[in-house]
Amino acid sequence: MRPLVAAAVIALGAGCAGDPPPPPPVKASVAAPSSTAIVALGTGAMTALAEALASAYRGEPAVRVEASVGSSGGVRAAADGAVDLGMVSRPLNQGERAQGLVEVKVATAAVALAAGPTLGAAGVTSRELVDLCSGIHSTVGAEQATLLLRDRDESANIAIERLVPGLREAREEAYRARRFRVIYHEAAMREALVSTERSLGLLDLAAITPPLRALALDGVTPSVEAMREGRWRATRDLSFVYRSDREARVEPFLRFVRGPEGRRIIEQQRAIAHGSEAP
Amino acid sequence: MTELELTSWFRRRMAALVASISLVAAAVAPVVYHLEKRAELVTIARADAARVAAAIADLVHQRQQFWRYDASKLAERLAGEGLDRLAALSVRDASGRAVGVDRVASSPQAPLLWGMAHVEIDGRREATVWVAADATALHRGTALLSVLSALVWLVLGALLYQVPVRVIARAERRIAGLMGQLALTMQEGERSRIARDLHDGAGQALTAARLQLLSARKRADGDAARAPLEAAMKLIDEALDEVRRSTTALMPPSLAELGLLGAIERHAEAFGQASGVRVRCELSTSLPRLEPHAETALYRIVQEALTNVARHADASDARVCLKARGGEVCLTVEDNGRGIEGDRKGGSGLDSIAERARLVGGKMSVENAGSGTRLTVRIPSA
Repeated sequence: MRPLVAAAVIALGAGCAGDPPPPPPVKASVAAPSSTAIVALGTGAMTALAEALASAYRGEPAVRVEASVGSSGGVRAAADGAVDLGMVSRPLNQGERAQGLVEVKVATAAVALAAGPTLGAAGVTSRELVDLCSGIHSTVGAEQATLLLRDRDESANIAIERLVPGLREAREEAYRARRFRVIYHEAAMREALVSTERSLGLLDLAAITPPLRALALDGVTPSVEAMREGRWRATRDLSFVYRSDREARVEPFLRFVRGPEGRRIIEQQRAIAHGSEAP
Repeated sequence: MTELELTSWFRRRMAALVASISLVAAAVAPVVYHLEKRAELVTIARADAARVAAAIADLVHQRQQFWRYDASKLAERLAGEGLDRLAALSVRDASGRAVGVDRVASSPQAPLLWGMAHVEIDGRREATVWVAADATALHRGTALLSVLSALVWLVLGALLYQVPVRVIARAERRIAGLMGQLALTMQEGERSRIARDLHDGAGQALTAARLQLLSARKRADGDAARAPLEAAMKLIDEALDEVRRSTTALMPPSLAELGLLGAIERHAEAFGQASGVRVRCELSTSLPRLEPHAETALYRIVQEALTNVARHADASDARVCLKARGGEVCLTVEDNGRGIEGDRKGGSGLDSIAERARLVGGKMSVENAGSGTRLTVRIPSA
């Protein structure tokens, strides 16, 4: 009897002990580049632009743009060598710069508030936006509105907050209160705006196409002209980052991007092309 | 008669047994609580790990080989879904690399219980998720329950120990009392037998011899012939007196006829006449009722004590005092003799008195009082 009881206790104890803790992470080794294409991965703000550039590029190897994983994901993937080009829409932080990646700015794009097809308002004020985010009001003009938030690390937030004092604090409080739905990717935001009743949310200006509309903010309508003229300051720089040992591989494409064809495509994507120096 | 020592034997064994039982019983509640709660925490951790694994599986479907680079957004999404309460989170891809969602425990010393779940797509392991639950509250609860359980079983253990020990002690006292009664009864029985033998044997023989001498004296001519016969008759009379005294001492008049006080007074008077020691009796008439064997023991003690006075004290006066005091009957026999020396405090007469007192649950003490000796016996009243 006693051995049985002892065995039962041991079995119960073992079953309750939990699983072993995670082992220390293995250091990532640099991945080999794809043999078939130059792979670009990163911010969704640059995906459409990169796809347009890749589509127009006739060099070898071809360029393939993967689905959005955000700027941070793009930087890590480039540092790991998993992709040739990371796509970022924000400045690199100190840790990312320390990885020794080469950063090439290609364009400046506008961020704007996009309205879903059922929201009738043509514009919103800073005050309305802050009150909407804070939960003080739920209207834009006289119309009920539903705000869709971008995730915390999204560079579009930083861009729009240049124009709207107090919006950052209101946004943080909204996250804590879990007041609004949070959308994590550019494409997902677009889909959510189309499908959500009387919604508005942040998108890259180039992504705001029918049935979505760009809302004026404090009477200023976002456009490339407004950007050039300095009237619209909710902008972000779009850059490629890459390992220095991939330079020879990506250089032809980057030269294309900075060339006249690339600049034309950038302008077509409703962004402002940066300098034309070779990488 | 040796003591039973049943209570002390039982105490030792009960102490060990109760201590063992209390220890085991006190450990049961906290151990069971700890195991159950720990299993609960592990189950919750595993369920949370499964939720994270499911979210990662969705990510793998969407992002395929690059899912690990989207994991930081996943971590934020999971935090928004309430998983920011996790004590710790760790994800490793199939190569063992971190994917950027690891969150460590806020307190490095916090005890953690891990739950694990795999991310498997089409039979291929893509990642493993670990989620930790903080076991600090569990440990605190177990410690508190251990203390409470220990206190409860300390009290219960004391009761478990005390109750049977007291029952055994009471039984032992009862057995000792019965054994004392038996010993006294046997002693009295033996005394009666000896008294009867003396009376029926030596007494009868001496009486017959006296009759023969009486007949011979009647037939004798002259004083010269009668003188030795009369001397022999005198010796026989003295022997008969001694036989009668011994018979009376061995088998005194029934205490039931005279009562304890009457029997003591009768003996004191006879003793005084025989020894020349003046005996004064101070006997309380409001004594509590004593068991017959206790009364017999007190009477024998008075006999023995006065015999000691006659033999050893060289006293002219003695006092026998008997009274009730605080649930006890106190007998004191004092004399004005030469007192008792240190090395003589344990003489056979005193040993006999002490033994009699012990057999009825009492105690004896002897001390010098003034110039003489005081013997005190205390026995519990019924």
